[in-house]
Amino acid sequence: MPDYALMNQCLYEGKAREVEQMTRDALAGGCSVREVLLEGLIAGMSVVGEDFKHNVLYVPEVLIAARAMKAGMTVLKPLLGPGGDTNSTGRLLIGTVRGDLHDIGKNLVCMMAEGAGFQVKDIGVDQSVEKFLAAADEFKPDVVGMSALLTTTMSYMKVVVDGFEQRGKTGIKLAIGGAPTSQAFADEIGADGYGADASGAVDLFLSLLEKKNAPAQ
Amino acid sequence: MKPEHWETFKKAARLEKMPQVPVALIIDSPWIPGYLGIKHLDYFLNPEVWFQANLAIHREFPEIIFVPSWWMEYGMAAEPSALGGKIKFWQDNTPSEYPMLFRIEDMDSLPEYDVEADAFMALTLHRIRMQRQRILDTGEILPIVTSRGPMCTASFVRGTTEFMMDLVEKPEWAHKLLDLCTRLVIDWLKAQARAMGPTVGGIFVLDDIVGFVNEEHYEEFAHPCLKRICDAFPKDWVKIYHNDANIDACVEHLPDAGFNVLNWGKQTDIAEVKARIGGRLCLMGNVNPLEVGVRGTPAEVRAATLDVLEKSCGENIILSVGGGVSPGMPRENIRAMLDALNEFNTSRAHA
Repeated sequence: MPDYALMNQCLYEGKAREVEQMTRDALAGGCSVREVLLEGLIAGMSVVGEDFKHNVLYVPEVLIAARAMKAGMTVLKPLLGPGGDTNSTGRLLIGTVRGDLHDIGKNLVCMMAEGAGFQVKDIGVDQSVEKFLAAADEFKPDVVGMSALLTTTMSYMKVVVDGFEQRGKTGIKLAIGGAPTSQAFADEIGADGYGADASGAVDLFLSLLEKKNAPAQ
Repeated sequence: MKPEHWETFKKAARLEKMPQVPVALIIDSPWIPGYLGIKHLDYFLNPEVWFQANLAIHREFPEIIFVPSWWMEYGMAAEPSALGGKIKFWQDNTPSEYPMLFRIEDMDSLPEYDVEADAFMALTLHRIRMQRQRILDTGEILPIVTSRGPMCTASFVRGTTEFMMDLVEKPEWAHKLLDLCTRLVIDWLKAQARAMGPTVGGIFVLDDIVGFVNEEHYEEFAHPCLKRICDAFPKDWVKIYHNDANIDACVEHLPDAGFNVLNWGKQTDIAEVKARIGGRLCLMGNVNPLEVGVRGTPAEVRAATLDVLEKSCGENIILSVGGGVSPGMPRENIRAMLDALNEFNTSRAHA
């Protein structure tokens, strides 16, 4: 039985090499991919998320922890997905909206979402509604996340929301985040929800997928 | 800024007892073009449009102390542009910065900067010299020089995500980049002071990226740079610090860095900030600029303003919004803020 508490601690401290090795060892020892993912990686990252929310951890530590998570994921990824022995939590398409080049918040959300088991497609910064729609056609997301740091660019989120509605993509949940945004703004533009920070965004994605309180498989 | 406004601001910054609470707002490009219905590109590139816009704002709100007075700026472009950052201009927005220092080790290959001649710093200095006399002729002065801080500049040049990881993984290079940015900021502020002339007596440093790091990282990376900047200017100059990200980890250290005035964001209630450093810093804030300033009704602005003022007890405070004025703040809400301040000052005078 792998020492998942130790693995969680290594992830928390951003020890990428150790997390990668422990992931390999756990698989070699006969643990399932799903167990290693849930007990070793996602459990560790959820502590990181909680501590970030409460100002125990700050941005650099979260990024380093997320990179350790990624190191473990590189081992698991080839074994995940269709044909693997587990499924992802959901599919997240994410980008910063047109006119805005800020990416730190989006990057944090990507990492935390991966940490929660989402398959994530990050289309980058300064993305038009056409780019969001084209990426959605290709990636088939459950949730689309939009980020903006500027009060002058957040209004473009409504353009994206309207674009998805006009194309009849009503099955895809639309989430927003970024310093100037709020739940009131999400309601105003017709988005499905707002995440106050990276952890809150992942909670939102999970709740949008109605998976947050589902029993572990 | 009128000379008498500057005297008031300096007294408040030095924590002197003020008969009336003053009000100050940051005057900048995210806000003004939209407020006056002009295009950002015209605001930046047409000197007459810029001059008339600033004049109009000062004349409409003569009771407000605008910081840093008349601000020649290209959004956040000047500092990163001198270190090779790519700047992208938009028709209706402030310019954005693309980080170009893909490997932090490449900073050793950067050509030496020259604040007088490089990119948007050179253009800004030229604009200051072009407009200076005309501004003085209106009865206003130019008392404050302004720059993004070293953490902000380093993040713009390197990329915020990358720089945050450098702090942990390549601390020696992060220090080196911060040292470069600190020198740049000091030289940039001094160049502005030379261009503006003898009315200058203050610095205004904006560094929100400081809010992304914990206290240990603040003390190791940010604090020495901020202190070096403050120490580079005369002791009696007013030092203003803006950070509308998280101030939780740094706030107690800011007076030791040398700052006199703090403009912070909506996240931290003034009662908490006052309890932590209210006796050591003048607090410039902090009515919520977006949810209240832009989206609120005048009645909500009044209530929020009075809340801030009452929690401050009218001591060591310059009323402002929490950060800059958000684009779209309507005239009637600015007026409501001023009316609430008058109400507070009047009742205080009669108390």
